[in-house]
Amino acid sequence: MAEVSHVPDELFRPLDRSRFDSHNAMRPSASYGLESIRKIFRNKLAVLGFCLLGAIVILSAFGPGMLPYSASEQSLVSGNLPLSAEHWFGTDDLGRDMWVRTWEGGRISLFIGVVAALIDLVIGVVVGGLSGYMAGRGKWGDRIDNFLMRLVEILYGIPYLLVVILLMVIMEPGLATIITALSITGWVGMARLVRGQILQVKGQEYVLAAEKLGTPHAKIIWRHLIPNVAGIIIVNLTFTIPQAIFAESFLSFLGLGVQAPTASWGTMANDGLAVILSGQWWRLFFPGVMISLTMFAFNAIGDGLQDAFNPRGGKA
Amino acid sequence: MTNVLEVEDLHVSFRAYGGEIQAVRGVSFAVRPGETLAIVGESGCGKSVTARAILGMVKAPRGRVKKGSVRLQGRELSCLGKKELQQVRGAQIGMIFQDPMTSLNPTMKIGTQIAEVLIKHQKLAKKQAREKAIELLAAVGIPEPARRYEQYPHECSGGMRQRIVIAIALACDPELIIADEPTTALDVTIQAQILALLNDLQRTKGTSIIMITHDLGVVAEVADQMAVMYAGIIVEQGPVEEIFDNPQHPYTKGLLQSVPRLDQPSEERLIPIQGAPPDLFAPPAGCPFAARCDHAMEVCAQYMPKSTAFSAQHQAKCWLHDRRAHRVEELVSAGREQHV
Amino acid sequence: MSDILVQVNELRKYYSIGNGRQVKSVDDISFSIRKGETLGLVGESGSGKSTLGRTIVGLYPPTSGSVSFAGTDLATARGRQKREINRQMQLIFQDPQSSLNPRLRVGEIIAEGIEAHGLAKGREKAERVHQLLEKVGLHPDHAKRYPHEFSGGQRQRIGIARALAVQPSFIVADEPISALDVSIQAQVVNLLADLQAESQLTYLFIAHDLAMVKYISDRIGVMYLGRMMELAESDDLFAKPLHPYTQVLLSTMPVSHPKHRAERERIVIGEPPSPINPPTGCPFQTRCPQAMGICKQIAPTWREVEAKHWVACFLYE
Repeated sequence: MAEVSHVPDELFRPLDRSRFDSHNAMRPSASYGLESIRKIFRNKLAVLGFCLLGAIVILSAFGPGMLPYSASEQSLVSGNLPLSAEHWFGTDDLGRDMWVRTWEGGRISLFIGVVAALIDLVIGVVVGGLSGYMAGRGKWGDRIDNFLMRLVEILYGIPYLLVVILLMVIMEPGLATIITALSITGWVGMARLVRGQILQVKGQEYVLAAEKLGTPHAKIIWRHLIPNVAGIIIVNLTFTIPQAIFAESFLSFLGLGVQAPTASWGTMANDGLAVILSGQWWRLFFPGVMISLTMFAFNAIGDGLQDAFNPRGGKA
Repeated sequence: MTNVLEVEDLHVSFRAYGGEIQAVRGVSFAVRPGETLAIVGESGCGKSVTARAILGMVKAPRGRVKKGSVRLQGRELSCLGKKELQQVRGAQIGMIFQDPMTSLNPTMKIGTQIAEVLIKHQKLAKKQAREKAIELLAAVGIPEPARRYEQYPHECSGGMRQRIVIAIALACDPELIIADEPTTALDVTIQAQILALLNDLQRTKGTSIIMITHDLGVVAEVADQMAVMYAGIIVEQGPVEEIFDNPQHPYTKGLLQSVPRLDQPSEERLIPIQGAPPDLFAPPAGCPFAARCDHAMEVCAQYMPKSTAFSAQHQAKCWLHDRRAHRVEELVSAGREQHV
Repeated sequence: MSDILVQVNELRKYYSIGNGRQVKSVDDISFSIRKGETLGLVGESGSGKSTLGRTIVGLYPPTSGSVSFAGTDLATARGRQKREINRQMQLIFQDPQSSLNPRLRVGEIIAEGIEAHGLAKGREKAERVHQLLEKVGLHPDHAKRYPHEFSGGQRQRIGIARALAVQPSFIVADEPISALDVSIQAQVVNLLADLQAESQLTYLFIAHDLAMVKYISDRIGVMYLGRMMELAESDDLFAKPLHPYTQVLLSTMPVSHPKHRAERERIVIGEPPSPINPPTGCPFQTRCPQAMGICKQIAPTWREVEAKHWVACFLYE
């Protein structure tokens, strides 16, 4: 605050308003998407998650090529070797290189996790979206909504372990079975979420305005409902993928998942546990750590996305 | 007669992404015993932040009181520790906030919430506290107070909940009550009752009240003194009647002209204030109202105006009151006649 | 009468909330809105004024009763006629935060109605959007920006531009200024008045601020718990309020100048009843200073007690 006494007399004349042209004073425009991306990059944990995930994906793709072994190459003389320059992660009891196996296992685990989560997404969005959109649209609308939600409730109560075992009786155990098992029960969470979101967005005044302006139903869904629900769906995806990965690991750990010679982190962990007492820690350590890091990475990204998509709240 | 509260040169800021928001920039005022001071302003002017600063409720580390002094009955509050502040807040300053739903604990009985204050600050025994609480409920106009004592907040209407909040605020006979938009969320018929209640209680107990509001009608209803805030500073303050009759600051004038009055003839048009308040990330160096002011001069954009006194208590911060502004005034009035 | 634009007859809108209970948001309301007038609608929370506005405009199907636009009953309109009527009646919302889709640019938001009705394409459409922005006091460049970059008052202007884009003749303004700062309210209200004069619009202006409603309205209706209590010319209503509820409302309005404090006699009434469990008979009887025995038993009829002054009250029967 400037002091009064030396305020020059000549300043007592009408103000030149051009400096206050408010239209120019607006900051450069940023679309919602760009703003969100900027927000994510400010979140250090999320950035860490991205880097970590990126590293794991790249290594899963190219890691096996870095050492000259193959995942199934057995060498009984090289059994159970600890970490060394030739075997970066050591070897297992059959002499197979752990580094290569870990990353090939990563491919399997990631593949199952992502595919199962994506199938859940598609089914969940369709069911939840239909349910949410139909709710309140007259008698038939409510009936459809109720029917689908009852279905969701029933499936919610069934433990997926049961489903897996049942499926294994019907189908041969393996990749397809486990993906099917995870997908059949996993979509209910997404469906509920999508339905809730759709119901909320439907009640927003801009949707009512669109109806009043004469926008056709399909366009309302496409233009108003989906973009405002997409954020939540993506965030949920970042949480369902690690859930699926963990579920697969758990099942494989129990022996119900992928069968040898295919190895996922879960099966490797299972094998590793058996020999932990004999001092071969690297056989449990690497698959276990990879599962944890992957789950952490997805969760960190998910948290960051959640904050970023939140239009008003959260930090800053 | 000592002032109940004195605030001097208060500055409060908040850290946000991209910089610091200067929410309060040098606010000074005083409240006398038994008097109601209304702090009027629109959203973002800093009135709520001022209230919280007085109560010591500016949330660190984001927010901080940069400078200034707050004295209650002569006692400096800004240097008090957490515990002492809590003591002051219950026993000497009562608080009423806007949303009664969040001011009351939904899981506790109404009576218990009042009694709790009495037990904590006045060290009453449980039974005495209960009796006093029922008395308080009656004093704020709640019918069947003994029955209401046992009820929970969700069983009461909005107006009733606000009365309960007032009862809690009054429990320890504080010298000062700070009410932040206490009636904004209420229907107009209930608002009138709550304002009348506050008026009555003030008369019988002699409590001073700081009423924070954006509604000039509320100010006209209950206030003795008023302070008009804009972009973190007080642009005009003084006795309510004087200011309504003879507003000296262009913002105050603008506000009074843009609010419809019942006795206004129907052909008379409301004159809005053009534009919008400034961004407090980088507050303008001069008068914050310059961009929207019809009478703005170059000096207004560069230097913060000094205060001019119009009576013992009425003052305003505006360069128009500097003696050098006369010739500009003539120019502007001549120009304005063309575009009304 | 040919100058009636909207006719509401015995309109009811009930919501069922389970257990066979109902909320009677709008309970037997009849009135008409003349072409070119501004009809103000006031009431406190729970009065049903918002529901009434949205039902009139066609957003909610009525439970019973009818709404007619320019002589055509909304319920029986079909096909092109129905689309035409829907276009003619538009709505402006209260909350500047949720009334605009945050993912769309302002230009797209305003153009939505134009596209839906095929009123213009390509360059002509863009021109119209720019003209509309200027009409509401914004700059054509703002079309490229997103809602979150604007203040509350500006967002309301965008909402108005959106409604105007389809060239309606009737606009229901549902508390358009309640969420705005005091100094901005007058800006928006003046804008609405100017637009009305320019485009011969008819307004239903819903608000709870009596002084503002009086400023902008030709006639005012007072609602309470789903029913209309009184309807009269603005000046008449304030000079001579007939219904006890209107009298209470006027007595409890904050004064405009401190000197009036002592003059105003306040009528004290109790707590409002719950809309789920409304009182029998006249909905106001539980709080009415002049309630009589009959008020508790049957609801009063809606009648024109004086010239152009309608009331539902047994005091006048």
